[in-house]
Amino acid sequence: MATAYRWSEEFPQGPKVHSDAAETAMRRTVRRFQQQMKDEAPSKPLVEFPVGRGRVIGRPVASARAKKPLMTEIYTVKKIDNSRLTRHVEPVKVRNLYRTVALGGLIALCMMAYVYQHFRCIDLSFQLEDLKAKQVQAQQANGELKLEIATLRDPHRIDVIAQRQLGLKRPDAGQVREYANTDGSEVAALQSVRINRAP
Amino acid sequence: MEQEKVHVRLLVLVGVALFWMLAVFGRVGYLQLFCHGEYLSKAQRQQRRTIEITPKRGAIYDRNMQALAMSVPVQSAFAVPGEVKDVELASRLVSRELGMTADEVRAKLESGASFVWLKRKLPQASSDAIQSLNLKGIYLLEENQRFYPKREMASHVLGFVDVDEHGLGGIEHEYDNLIRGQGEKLVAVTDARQKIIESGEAQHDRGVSVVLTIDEKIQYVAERELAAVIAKFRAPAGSVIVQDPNTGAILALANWPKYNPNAPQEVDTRKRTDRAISEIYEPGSTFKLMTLAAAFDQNLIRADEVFNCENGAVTVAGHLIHDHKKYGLLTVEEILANSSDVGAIKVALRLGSQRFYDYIRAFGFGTPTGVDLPAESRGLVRRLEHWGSYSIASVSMGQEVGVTPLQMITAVSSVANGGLLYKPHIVQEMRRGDQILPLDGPSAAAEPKRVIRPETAATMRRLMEGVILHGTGKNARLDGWTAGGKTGTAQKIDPETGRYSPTNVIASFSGFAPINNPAVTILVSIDSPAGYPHDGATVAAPAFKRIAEQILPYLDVPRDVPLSPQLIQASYRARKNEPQDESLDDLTPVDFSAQPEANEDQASALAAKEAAVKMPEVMMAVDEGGDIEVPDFKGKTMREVTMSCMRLGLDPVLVGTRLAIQQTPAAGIKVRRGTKITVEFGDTPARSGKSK
Repeated sequence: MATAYRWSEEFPQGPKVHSDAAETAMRRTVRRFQQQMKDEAPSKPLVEFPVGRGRVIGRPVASARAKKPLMTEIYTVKKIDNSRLTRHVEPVKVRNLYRTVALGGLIALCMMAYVYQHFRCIDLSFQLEDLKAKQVQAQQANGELKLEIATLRDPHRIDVIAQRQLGLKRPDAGQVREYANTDGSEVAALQSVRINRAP
Repeated sequence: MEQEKVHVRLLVLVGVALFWMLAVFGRVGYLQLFCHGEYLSKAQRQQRRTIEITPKRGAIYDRNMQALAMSVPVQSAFAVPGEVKDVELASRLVSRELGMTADEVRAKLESGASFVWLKRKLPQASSDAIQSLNLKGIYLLEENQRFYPKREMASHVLGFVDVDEHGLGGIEHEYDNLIRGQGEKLVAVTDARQKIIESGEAQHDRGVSVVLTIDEKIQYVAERELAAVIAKFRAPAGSVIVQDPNTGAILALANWPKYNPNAPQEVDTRKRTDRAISEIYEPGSTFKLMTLAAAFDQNLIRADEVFNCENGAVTVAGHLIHDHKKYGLLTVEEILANSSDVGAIKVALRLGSQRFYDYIRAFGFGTPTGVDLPAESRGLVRRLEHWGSYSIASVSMGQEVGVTPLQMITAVSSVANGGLLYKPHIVQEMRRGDQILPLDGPSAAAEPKRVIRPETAATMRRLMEGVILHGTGKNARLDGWTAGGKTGTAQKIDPETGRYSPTNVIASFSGFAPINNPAVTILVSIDSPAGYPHDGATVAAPAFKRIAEQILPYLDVPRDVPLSPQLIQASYRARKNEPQDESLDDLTPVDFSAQPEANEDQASALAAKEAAVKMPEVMMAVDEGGDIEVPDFKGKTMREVTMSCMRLGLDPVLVGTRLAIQQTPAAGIKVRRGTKITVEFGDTPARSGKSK
């Protein structure tokens, strides 16, 4: 009964072996696997074996009735060493790449700035409208207060308060003394000078 | 084979993509090219909101920027009946808040109109209540309401507005286009929640504010004194005008009856008439000023020229005209002082009809003065060719001619200011915000027109002073200022008989003060004063005196004659004897809105009595004319000298220190109030001797 090993599709490149120790270990593993295949039933499902850093998945190929496998197919791993190969990067392409990335970043930044200022503008517009509303309210309050002041300054009202509540009386013609200027000697007489004169 | 299949699939895919793109771009193109307008309007409806800005009337101020009229925003309730689901409930709720009956509200809601006012210009409490109801279909709209904070003051000058804020009288009407401002619709950009993102700025400012030449304090004095005269003589109507003769500016214009412009609908039209500019009356004897001024200007008479007044009767063109008193020989000055009709007729006859007519027109009678107020009357001056045979006699004493109070005061002002006739005006300036607008139209300044020569005006001023000093206008004599004027008592035509009524007269007084540099011209005109005597000297002249004596110190016009010592001493003694036990503790609030207008004068009289009782003793510097005897200050301290001078109204000038040793003027000399008393201080002789 032949036992066949095949590489899993998960490792299309096969296990990567980069050193002699690894290769030795792999061979050892393959041998151990072959030994196991001899001992086990042929209908065993796929099993996974660690090989170096990778894995080997295989199924023993053998007759169900035969105790020994008829044929053993071995796929050897071809060692490919690309370590001597170096990738040549052209500076012009790198510069172009950087430029492209920078340009893209700049465009993205501009777009973000545009979006930000757009929404910021809307936000400020809302704030402006709120302030306008407050300004209108303040103007209304100001107008109402001015009206109240004007009402309170009604000469008729003041006259009635002066005469009825305060008991004041209009001065006779000779009782009001007015000075052209008020220097120190005339301060005492200021009590008789009308203070509410026309501007 | 396989590759061909792949190519076919790719082609199909590309085809589908192209078709899809074509479809999308085709649709976009269709929408953009053919449906642009429709979708644009849809978007605008969705994103834009129209805000209506109601025009706000400009304020009206007096010359000192005291507000006389201003607008404040208020809310008005309206309904969209189609949106009101439960009319019964809405009627019941809304009527309670608006002070209406539920039936009234229901009728409005069931009217079928798409928009209906429920009640306009609501008080704050009502609008808040409506807002809190939050009923669908019941809304509030902001409007402006006009308020006149000084109520009746200058009501005829200010005018009033209707519910739609249209000016209907006075300044409100005359400058309605400027004061009203322009309404505006602002388009606001909104978000999905209808919150305004941007509303823009209003392009139109509020209405223009008007600053008047009126002074509210002078206006108040004029109105108060007019009301006092009206009450005293139980007259139905009257006017007072105060004018600056040097510019033509009207400082006060008061009429009786007055009304409250906050509620103009509560009074009839008659009360809202501005009598001072639209009521024509026969001026009577005040017109003799024009007769004499014309004759003086033509050098036809002299002030000391004697006329024979024919013992009170003269015949002109077959008509016998009687004087109010039997005068014999009178100088021209006496003719004016005693208001002799015969004398005025004789002067007019010497002047001649043509020249007299020319002067009457030159003084501005028969044409509107051009004052910036509506409904001004042109007066009534018949053309010369329509004058009768004795018209010259009638016109010379103020009959057969109709004038307005404003025309009369303007003419008197021209005499007061030296012969220039100024156009009377009541608007001082107009403002839009802080910007002062140029005056044009009726408020534009006009060059004064010379009517009489300055010499003529000077002569007339002296003669008018004589009227007050020793003529019919003695009651108008001022304490502290010289004044000139002329009384007038014009009989009114009795509409029943068509003749002059012996009882109904218009008593007037036109005058100015002081004589040499007139600051104010005042006209008082009282219609049909009751009682007897009811002539201008009794009725109007005292009012002139009271008004002038309050206005002149307010305007800081210096006194040009000493005060009457007797009057001062009497008032001083009266004050010294007043009880002083009552203090000023009556500060109970007064409800001014509840005070009936008719009781104002009674209240003033009562208040004066109360005030006399409550009057505390106040230290006042008393003007005693030239009658103050300088005391002897020798040996007194500086404090004693200062106090003594203050008490007497003298002006101490203190030199040196210690005790008074010398003074100028010397003790015992009589001086006038305010005289400087120089007192020198130093060591007295006794003290000096001791030190020696």
